[in-house]
This record gives sequence, C-alpha cells and structure tokens, in this order.
Amino acid sequence: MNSQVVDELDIVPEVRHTDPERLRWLVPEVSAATDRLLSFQPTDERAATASIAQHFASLRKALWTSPHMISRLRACGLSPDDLQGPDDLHHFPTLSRTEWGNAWRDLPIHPPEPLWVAVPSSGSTGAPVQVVKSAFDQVHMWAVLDFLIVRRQLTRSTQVALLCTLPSGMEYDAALPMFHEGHLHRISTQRARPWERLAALPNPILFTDPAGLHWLLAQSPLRPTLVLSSASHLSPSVRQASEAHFQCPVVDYYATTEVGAIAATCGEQRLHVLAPEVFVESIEGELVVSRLRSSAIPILRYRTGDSGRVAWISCRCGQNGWVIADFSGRHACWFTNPAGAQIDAWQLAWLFKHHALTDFRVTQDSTSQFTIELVGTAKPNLQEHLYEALFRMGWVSPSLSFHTCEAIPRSGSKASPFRTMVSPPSP
Amino acid sequence: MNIKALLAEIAAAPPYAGLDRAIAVAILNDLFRKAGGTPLPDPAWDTQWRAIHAVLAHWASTTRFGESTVQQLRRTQKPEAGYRAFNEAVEALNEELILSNAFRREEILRHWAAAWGLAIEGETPAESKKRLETLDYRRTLKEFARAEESRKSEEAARLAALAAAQAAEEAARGWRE
Ligand SMILES: [Zn+2]
Repeated sequence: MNSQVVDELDIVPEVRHTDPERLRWLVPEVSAATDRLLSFQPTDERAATASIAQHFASLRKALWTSPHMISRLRACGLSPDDLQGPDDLHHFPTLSRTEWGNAWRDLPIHPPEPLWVAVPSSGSTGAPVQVVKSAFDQVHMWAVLDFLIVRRQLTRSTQVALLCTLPSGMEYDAALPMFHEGHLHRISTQRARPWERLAALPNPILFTDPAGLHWLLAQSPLRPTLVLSSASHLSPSVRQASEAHFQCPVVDYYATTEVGAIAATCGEQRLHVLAPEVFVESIEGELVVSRLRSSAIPILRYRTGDSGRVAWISCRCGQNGWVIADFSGRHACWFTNPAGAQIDAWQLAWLFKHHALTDFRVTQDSTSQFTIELVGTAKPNLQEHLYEALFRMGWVSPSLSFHTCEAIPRSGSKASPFRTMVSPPSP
Repeated sequence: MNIKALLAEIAAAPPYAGLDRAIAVAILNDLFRKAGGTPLPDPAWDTQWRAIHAVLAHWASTTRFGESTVQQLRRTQKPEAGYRAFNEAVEALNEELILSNAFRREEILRHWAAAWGLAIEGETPAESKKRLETLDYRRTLKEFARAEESRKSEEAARLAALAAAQAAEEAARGWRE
C-alpha cells in the first residue's frame, strides 16, 4: 500500500527549504478543515447523504478546470454540475491508477497554483504515479490530526515526532505554524540514540508505521499522547500490545499518497471515514474514493486498490457515520490454516521484534509449510516461538524451513514480511 | 409533469429501437390534438424535425410522458414557436446521449416542459429553472471549450509549473536521501 505517513508529511521539505512563515497563510484553511470534520455529525445516513451533498462544490469546481477530467466527462456526456451529491456518483466513471499514471499532467486543475509539489507514489504494483499536491494538500493532515485529538478528548501536545525506519536515515526539525505553532521532529532509527531523543520530547504525538511500531515495542515504553500508525496493516494484536505498551490510544490511519487521509480508527477500533473531506464507496469489494475538499487534483471515484466494505453505523464511540469494514490494505496477509480459517499473518510480527521488518519474510508455501527468510542470524528461540504461535493458531504440526539471505526482495517502499502461496478457500 | 417518476418509467420501458419519422410525427401531433389544439403542419415539420423527436415519440407511446404533456398543453399553444425553442435548447443533445445518460434524459424532459410551459411537480418555477440551468449541456460545452482554450493558450506556463512541482520534490530528495 502506498499509505505512507512519510509521504503525507511531504510538507516538510518545503518548510525546511524556505521560511516556515511561507505557509502561515494556510492556517485558516487548516482550521476550517478541522471544523468541517468536527461539525459533520449527522443523525442517520439519510441526513448524512443530504448534508455531504453541500460539500461537493469544491470537487465540482475543480472538475471544471481539469483538462483530463473535462475530456473524460465530455466523452460520457456528463457535466461537473451533474454531480450534486453522493447519489449522483454511480453515473460517473471511475479513475484507475493506470489512467492516473498516464494522465497525471492533465489531471491537476488549471491554472496551476504556486507551491505545487509532484510526489511519486510508490504503489506495490505497477510503476509509480506522479501525484501533484497543492500547498493545502500538503498540510491537510494537520487538520485531521487536530480533529482526532479533539474527538478523542486528548490533551493537545504541539510536539510531533515522526519515527522513521527507512534506510535513508533522514532527520529534520520543522516548525508547524498550521498545527498550533507546533514542532515536528523527524527521528530515524538508523541514527544515534533514537529512543533517547524521542523520550526527551514531552508527551509527543507519535507518527509511525508498522515497522516503526515494531521497533518501538522492542524498546522501553515511551509516554506519548497519541500514537498514529499508517494503516499499512496493523493487526489487532499488535495494536493491543501497543496500547498496553504506550498506555495511550493507538490510531490506525488510512491514507494514500494519491488521496491523503481517508479514514481513522476510533476507540472502538472502527475505521471511520473522514467525512466530509472524502466520500468512500465500495465497488465489488474495492474502496473507491472521491475527495471533496479543495485540492490540486479533482479526485472523482478513484480506485484505491484497497479492499473493504463501507457501512453506516451508530458506533459505540458515540459517532454515527460511515465506516470501512473488512479493510484490507495491499500489504495485509492472511494465512489459511488446516481448518480453512483465515489467520492474520501480522500477528506473528511480534515474534520478530529483534529483526527489522525489512529483514525477514515468512512465506506460507503450502497449508502447513512455511519458509522463513532472514537477513543475519535468527535470534534465540525464534524457531520454537514461531512453532508454538502457529500451533495456537490451528497448525498441528507446521513445518518451518529457515534460510539466511543478504536481503529480502521488496516490491514498493513498504516492507512485506508476510506472504502466502495458498489460495483462500472459496466462501 | 413528474420528472422523477417519468425517468423511472423510461428506464423500465422497452428500449428504443428506432422509429420512422412519419410514425413519430403522428404520435407527437396526436398530443396536440388530444389537448384540443392544432398540431405542427407537415411543411413546418420539414424544418423542425430532429432525430431526437423519434425518441420522445417512443417515450410518449411507452410511458406517461405523452399523457402528462397533454394534461398541461394549452389549446392556444403555437406549436412552431414551441418546437423552435425546444430544438434550440437541445442542440447539444443527440439520441445517443439521451439514451445512455440519465442526466441528459432529465435535461431533455425539462427542456420539453419549458418549451410548452408545463409545470414540474413538486417544484416552484424558479427551482425548475435553476435545475434546468444546471443540467443545460449547451452551457457545459461552452464552459469546456473555454477551459480548453485557456489551457491551450497557457500550455507553456502549465508545463513549467508541473516541472517546477517535480523539481520541488526532487530538490527535497536531494538532501533527503
Ligand atoms: Zn467509532
């Protein structure tokens, strides 16, 4: 999956390169976005559909000037003004990743705005696509973060840490005028004393991904206000272990480089759609997103490649709204056990806590046969613990074959430490 | 005229498979006779006939479109002026569009209602006018053409902006990696 907080924070190079004051003009836009998210509180789905229709105006406006979308709509005899609300969406064509890749120069609105950045999105399948982001696109996530803090009734910290495990080892500090005059510290696990430097920040908001979380769980606990993990795939057991470890909420955050923030989990672990910033449909099990907020690119029914169902619920967290159920990002992996049950492979990640997520791979070759590839030597008792874990998950006598290698082949920028060659039983 | 109900009836009706001009004209002329008025004379049809009229005639014979037209059509209605206004309003539409696209179907029904002064059920005249302006494909095509003009004349600036956007990212990469 290309849902990378790291990518979402691409504002930072801009901040670092130039005067941070340069982006201060976006502060009102960011707080307006937070207000939109907070005040979207419909009582039922009918009211929500009616109310979200008012938020389609920005998308319509952008569609009117996107050269690619104009020719796309004209070919179907459609007009941006035909799109008055969610009920009209099914008449409109969807946008695939391939189409995006081919048309990226013609997708953005016209005329161009200053401060655009073209970010390559590294999908796990196919060539990277160029994603043009407006200045507001680059800072929108701070509105989402603010919204999550208010919604969760947390004490706001203005210190934000981004823990990164990428081999580049890049680090920086940046001012965040659009987040309550806060500060962002990017800290790399590849540099000296990462834990100590994280621990020096007073109750920070901690952004990371499953690889960073994996690293943190192997260290002494920190005391963050809130931990956000981009939803590459956070298994419930890892999340529970993390909440116990940090004694603070761990929010699983679904964002893609193309769209930005799409959904985030609540205290009841339901993945709430970030309406009215986006509207999500599920088409034959694939999540299809329309972005309603203003942006450089009008996103109309973009096929994310991620799977899930959209449902309306009255959640126990107190919010009524659309949630994504059965979410499965492209990096999720489900092993099929001998009884035919689907088992979340990421539950096993914990056993590999002494290995970086990029340094091991577990492959289910056939129902009871597993290959474990490792960079470097296995930590003591790994084989025994893995056997026990699989036994508890329904494998009576799993066969484990360990191999040492120099590097694990990767597709895309995210680690994919689990894969299966066994097709799931047909339902 | 109940637009929503008519659209549903059209969607459920037997699909349009072409209709002879003579038959279509007879069906449409009948609407005027039933309303107690005078139909468009044959020589006038020679100038006013459009292929989409055959689709309207199909709807008139398969749904309540004809009936709801007759109900409100005034006896004194001058058919030639009405058809001229209607044809002008729908010049951006063709058979394929109205058969394949729900919005353009709604648009043509509303242009028809506007040409003959038929009221739309559940809407004030101002609401009907606004909805028709929103759907008007002549306006859409003009706006599209204008957008394309401005893009074409500013192509160089656009490419420069996109190159700058890529450079901004690459510059960031330079110190990042
Ligand atoms: Zn909830």
